[in-house]
Formats: sequence, structure tokens, C-alpha cells
Amino acid sequence: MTAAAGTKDEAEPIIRFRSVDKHFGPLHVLKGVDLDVRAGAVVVVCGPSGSGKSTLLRCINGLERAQSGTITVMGRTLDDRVLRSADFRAEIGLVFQRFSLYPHMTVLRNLTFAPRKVRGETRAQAEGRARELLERVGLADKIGAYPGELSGGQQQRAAIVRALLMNPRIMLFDEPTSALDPEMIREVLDVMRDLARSGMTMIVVTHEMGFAREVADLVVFMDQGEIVETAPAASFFSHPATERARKFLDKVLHH
Amino acid sequence: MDWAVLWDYRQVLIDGLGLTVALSAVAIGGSFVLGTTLGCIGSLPGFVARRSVDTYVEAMRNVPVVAKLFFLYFVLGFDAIPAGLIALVSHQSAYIADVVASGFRTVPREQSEAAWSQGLARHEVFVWVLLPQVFRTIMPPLTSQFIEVVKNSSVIMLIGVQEMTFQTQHIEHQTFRGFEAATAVTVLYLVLALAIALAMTGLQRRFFGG
Amino acid sequence: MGERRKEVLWRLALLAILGFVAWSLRDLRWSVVWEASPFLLRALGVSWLLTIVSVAVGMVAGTVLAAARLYGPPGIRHLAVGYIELIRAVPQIMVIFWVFFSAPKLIGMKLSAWPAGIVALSMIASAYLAEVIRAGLASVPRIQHETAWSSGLGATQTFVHVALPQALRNMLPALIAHFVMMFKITSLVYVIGLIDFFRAIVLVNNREFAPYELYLTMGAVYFVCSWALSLLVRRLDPKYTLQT
Ligand SMILES: Nc1ncnc2c1ncn2[C@@H]1O[C@H](COP(=O)(O)OP(=O)(O)O)[C@@H](O)[C@H]1O
Ligand SMILES: [Mg+2]
Repeated sequence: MTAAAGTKDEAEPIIRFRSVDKHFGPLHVLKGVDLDVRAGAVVVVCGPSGSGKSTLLRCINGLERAQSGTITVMGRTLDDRVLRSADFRAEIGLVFQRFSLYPHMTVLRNLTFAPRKVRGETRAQAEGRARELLERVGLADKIGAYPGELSGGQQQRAAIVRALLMNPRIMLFDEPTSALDPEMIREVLDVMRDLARSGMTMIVVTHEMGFAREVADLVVFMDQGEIVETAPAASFFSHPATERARKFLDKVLHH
Repeated sequence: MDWAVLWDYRQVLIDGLGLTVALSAVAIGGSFVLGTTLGCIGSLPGFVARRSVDTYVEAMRNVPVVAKLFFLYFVLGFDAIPAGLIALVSHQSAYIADVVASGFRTVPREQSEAAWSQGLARHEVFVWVLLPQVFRTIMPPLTSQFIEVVKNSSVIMLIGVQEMTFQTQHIEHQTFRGFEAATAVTVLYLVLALAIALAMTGLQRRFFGG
Repeated sequence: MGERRKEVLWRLALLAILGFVAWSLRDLRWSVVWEASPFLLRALGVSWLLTIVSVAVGMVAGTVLAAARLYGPPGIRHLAVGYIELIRAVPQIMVIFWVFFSAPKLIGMKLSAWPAGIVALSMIASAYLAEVIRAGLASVPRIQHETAWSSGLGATQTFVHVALPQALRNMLPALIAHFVMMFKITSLVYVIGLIDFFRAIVLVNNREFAPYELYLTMGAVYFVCSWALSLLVRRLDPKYTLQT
């Protein structure tokens, strides 16, 4: 991973934004955003609420469509045709703050549903892989439970496993621990940390600065629809380049 | 009071019950299918789809069932049974469409987004992820709507269909024992309402785990 | 762009369609409706009068029933629940019949159509309104009761001065919705011969035989009256769903 960070111009980035603009009606939410993410990188996106972090993330897999600029993901420039492709979407995993799991399906069915429908896996195949991964995140005994019967932390871990079962090349996280009680945050971050070590490309919107410092290759700081600062995690935390980032860090680190 | 009259007229009451059950069953099926379809169309993102369904719902809901019934029977010339069924279905489907549409609004948008992101096609998201959640949340109001169909089926007596309520009046005219008949028929309606409520609870248990 | 503009266009389109329908019906014998209009208007007044009286009685009786259901001792509570659920599960025509047919047994003489209609509609209104009022009362936070109680108000005073006014405000949309419901239900007094708007239309049609003109008028009048009120419900609470 550190090797990859050194070989900057070796390969085309797996995610590339070029002057991307996004409006919601009169609201200008992304203002000429440029971004490059190499395969295998872990990028933490932070910034004040309403700064456009979620929108940025959702543009990557086409949940939001930009009005101008180009977004290239895994070598394909996003347009209607690309986004119609189930395989393209399935290669980008997504975990929300909450309501990720389907409440009317058991954990096992939540996990095997899309692999069977989209990838055409047999039931035995899908369930075998699901059991294996659930075991690894310590949820083997919850396999037949409904999401409503799990704690928030267990739900988020199951949601991560569900995304991983599609064999994604990119994982997106939108504040995956923000709705959790403090004691559950750690169990989710542990799973994410392991995932980062395995070399997965990850874009994580989070306020967990400890996680960012430890795991992130790159920190992207956003404010009012702009990427104000992009820096390696170490330098972002030790000496942020902009006044706005300094103020933000002040607030989240010593609230 | 003379409860023996109920025994003497048992066949009349049973026939009425049979007709009420049959009319209600068909009308419940019809208004469920039509109402669900309309509710789904009304929940699509398109403006015209949504407003067309709104307009249908408003038009149907603000006119009494009897008014629709008489229009179908006396003006458009339908036979009694079809007129009754169309009146019931057009009326209740409007309410059910509204119930279904409000069910869609309770599903968090993360649900469809998660499914779409996993690679499911729009129609698969709809059928496998949204609809089951909608039905799970609307079971209680849907139950009241179905009971409402049974209740409204009584107005069809006004055009001479001999369902349960009609038989009350029939017995009154023949024997002046309307009170006994009305009491008995009231009990039968209660039993029907209870049966629907129990059946719906059973379905809820069976498919949505309580 | 422009949800508003689409809405305006939509309404214009609806108006155009209505206008076209009206235009194509211009050769019907509308004079029948015009000549019968004093009679029809008086009958519409009867429909409204029945609605207003039954809702007024229903408010009072419904409040008692709701209070009994919420705060009553077990016996009273079960009676209230039984009454409310019975009336709501049974067709309204059956309630009307039942009142009409049971009068000779209970008070020893036949009721004429007017009192029978009013009693039956009031019984229906009180059951439905009891549930509306119960929901309204339940929407008043417990802490309000406790605060009033601990400041020395008695149970009845707390109910009348604290719970009820707040409940009334919260339940206004549901109340208007049920007013509309009762207005539509008045059409059922047809079965005992009361001349409300619905029966008036039928009577005029029996005499003049102009079904299109009269029944279209009937639909339009019922629609306009209930729709106008349901708009008010929407305005007060955009999320309110009408169920009856
Ligand atoms: N679907 C939407 N419609 C209208 N405005 C939206 C929508 N989604 C987000 N916004 C607005 O866009 C801005 C950025 O939102 P978001 O990307 O969610 O910010 P963040 O995730 O940083 O809190 C906010 O002002 C938000 O209110
Ligand atoms: Mg956000």
C-alpha cells in the first residue's frame, strides 16, 4: 500500500473527478471538484455538515448525477449506459449511516440476495461465502436473525459483509459509525481497518479522526462544496495547510 | 321479542350472508389489485403519473358509494351485481391507493439506493425490496380498508340485490321482526370483520414475522 | 425545472378537460335541474343539517366515550370499547335500520324518519369521533397532565382545561375529515325515507326522468362539498391520510 502511494503516476487512478459541478435546484453543492484516487488507497473525507461529502460519495456510484464535469470510475466515464450496467454498480460497495440492511430479510438472505440475483450464484455458493465472512466479523450466530434484532454495530458489520460479498473493487462508507453508541463504534472500525489492510480501495466519510490518522492514506477536507485541502493523513493532522481546515480540526478534536 | 323468526328465515339469512361474502370477496380482491397498482404508479417519480393517481383518488373519495352505485345502475345501465362491484372497487381502490402511497413514503430512501447499488434493476428493487416493506407497514390500515368493503357492500341492497342487509328489511316487511333480524345480521357483520382481522394478522405473522 | 409550473399546467389541463365535458353535455335538459333547484337546495340543507347535528352530538358523546375508554374503570372502559368497535365494524345502513326497527321495542312506538335518522347518525358519529378524540388526547404528552395535577388541579379540571384544548388543536384535521365522512354517510338516510339531497335527486328523477342531468349534478355537488373540506384538511396537515 505504501508502495502504491510512492508510485504516483504508475497507473490511471481508479476514481477521477474533473471539474465536477452538482446543483440541487438553486443550491450549488459541488463546485468544480477535482479528485484522484489510486487503486488500493484509503481516502477519508471530512468537513462540516452540509459541505457536500455525501454528495461527492454518491456521485461515485451514480446515486447522484453531476450536471457538468466528468467522473471516471474503474476506467469508465459515468453516463447512463455505464450506470445501467448491473456489474458496474455491483463492483462499488456502499454502506450508509443506517437503514442499509433490508429489514424484511434475515441476515443470511440480506447477504445472499444480490449475489444470487445479480451474479447468478447458486444458493449453496452464496450461503457458503456468507457464512465464512460472517464468521470472520463475529456474526456467525446472527445468521438467521432479522436486522431489527441486531444492535446498531452488528447491523453495520453485517452491511459491510453484504457489500463485500459482491467482490467490490471500491468500498464507499457514508458516516458508518455516526448513528452508533460509542461502545459499538470500535467493533465497526475494527472491521473497516482490516478491510483497509487487505488493500481495498475505500472512500470513507467520517468524523472519526483517530481512524483517519491511523488508516487513511489521504484526507480530503471539504467545505461549502469545495475540496479545500487534500493531504496525506499525517501532514493534514500535524499541520493543516488552510485556515478553514485548522478551525475544523480544532472543533472536532477538542469539542 | 321473537327470536324464532331467525330460525324460520334461516335460509334467507344464509343466502344473504353468502351473497355478502361473495360480493365482498370479489370487491376486496379487485380494490386491492387496482388500489395497489394505482398506489405504485402514484409513487413513481413522474409528475403526470403521480398527479393522475391523485386526481382519481380525489374524484372517487369525495363522492358517496351510493351516488356511484346509482349512476352505474340507473344512468349507465349496468346490471345490479356488476354495478355494485364496480362501485365498491372504484371507491375503495382510491383509499387503498392512498394507503399504499403513504406506505412507500415510510420506506427510507437508503433501501432502494442500497439495492440499486448492489446491481439490482429498478424493477427488481421495486418488487423485492420496496413492495414487501410497504405491505409490512400497511397491513393494519389495509385491514380496515377490507372491512370497509364489507360494510359498503350493504348499499347494494338499494338496487335490489338481496344481500344480508336487504334480508333485514325483507324480514321486517314480512313479519315486523326487523329488530331481531337486524340484531342477527349485525352479529354476522361483526363476525365477518373479525374474520378479516384474524386472517390479516395471520398473513402478517406468516410473511412478516409478526 | 418548475414543479410549480407543472402544477399550473396540470390544473389548466384538468380545467380544459372539464370544460370540454361540460361543453359536450350542453344539449342535455339542464332546465330540469334548474327548475328543481329550490327543492334540491332545501334537500342539500337537510344533508348539511344532519351532518352538523350528528357531528355536534357526536363530539359530546364521543368525548365521553373517549374519556371512558382512556381513563374509565374496567367495566365502563369495556363498554365504551365495545360500543365504539361495534359501530365501526357494522355497515352504517345497519345502524340506521337497527335504530329504526328497535324503537318500538325500546320506547314503545315507531320513530319517524327524522328522529331515527338523527339518532342513528349521531350514534355513528360518536363512535368515530371517540376514536379521533382518543388519538387527540393520547397526543397530549403525559408530562402535561402531571404538571397540571401537581399544580393542584383536580382530575376533571385537568381534563377540561389542559388535555382537551390541546387535544382539540391536534385533532382538527381528523375532525374535519370525519365531518366530510359524515356528510357522505347522510346519503344513507335514503333507506328510511328522509328527503336528503340524495333522495331528492332520486325523487326528481322519478318525476322528470333526466338521469344524466340529475345524477351528474349529484356527483358534482357531493364532490365539491367534500373536496373543499378535504383541501382544508390537507392545508392543516399535509401528511394526513383519510381512511373512510
Ligand atoms: N436530494 C437533495 N435535494 C436537495 N438538496 C440536497 C439533497 N441532498 C443534499 N442536499 C443539500 O446539499 C448540501 C450538501 O449535502 P450533503 O452532500 O449531504 O452534505 P454532507 O454529507 O457534507 O453533510 C446540503 O445543503 C444538503 O441540504
Ligand atoms: Mg452526509
